[in-house]
Amino acid sequence: MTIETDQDDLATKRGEVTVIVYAPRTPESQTFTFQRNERVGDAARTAAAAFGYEGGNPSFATEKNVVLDRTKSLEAEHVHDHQSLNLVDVGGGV
Amino acid sequence: MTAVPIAVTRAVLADEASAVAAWVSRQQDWEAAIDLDALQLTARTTHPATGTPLRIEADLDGYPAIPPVWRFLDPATGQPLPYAFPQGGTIPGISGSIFHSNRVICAPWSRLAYAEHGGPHGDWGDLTNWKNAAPAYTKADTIADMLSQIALHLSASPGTHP
Repeated sequence: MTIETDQDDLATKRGEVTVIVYAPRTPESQTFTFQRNERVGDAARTAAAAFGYEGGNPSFATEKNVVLDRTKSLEAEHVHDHQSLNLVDVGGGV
Repeated sequence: MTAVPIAVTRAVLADEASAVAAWVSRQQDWEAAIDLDALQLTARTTHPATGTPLRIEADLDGYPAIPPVWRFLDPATGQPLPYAFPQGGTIPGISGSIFHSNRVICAPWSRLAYAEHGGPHGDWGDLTNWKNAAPAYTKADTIADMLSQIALHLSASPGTHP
């Protein structure tokens, strides 16, 4: 526990945030570490590619289906360490 | 319509079933099951704004060569029910709802959105191009991705049609 806390402190000092991402097409989650100032859209694109998604308009949503603003940073969207996020497509209807 | 052999569709759906089950397990108010014999998915949930029970079915014949037929049905009888269809809502950061006023899911991954199946889109080309038909809009290439999109847009829907 102490080790994990120390690691969290180090990650915070490095400006990083670690999140657990769930994608609909895959039963297992994946863990990602991003820079806190990275844009949501860029981070979601990285996660989407890791899950095998091609194209689309990926973003993250909280467990309560609140979609994060792709143009803002993870920090500005209040993403915190070890938060669970759902990968969603925000392309919208037509 | 069968665009691929039934055995291929069954194999793909069997492969996707675990992802569907995992997605459902992460939701608070959803259940869904794929019938591999009937090539059909049945999902049940309640409308998040009104609590109205919803039954959603997908006809999966021809999948994944062509997209499913998505319908909202009477939860009790399983018959088509126009007023069970959700109204479109607004989600910040998303350009528009998939719930079209003509009561079809208006998305490239919805067969009934195509003009050849009575939908509004004659501009998306052949059904088999569904994964690339409208890249700037909603994209969902697997059944679990489609359920996720339905749930996301339901979360902003103010209710069902009167």
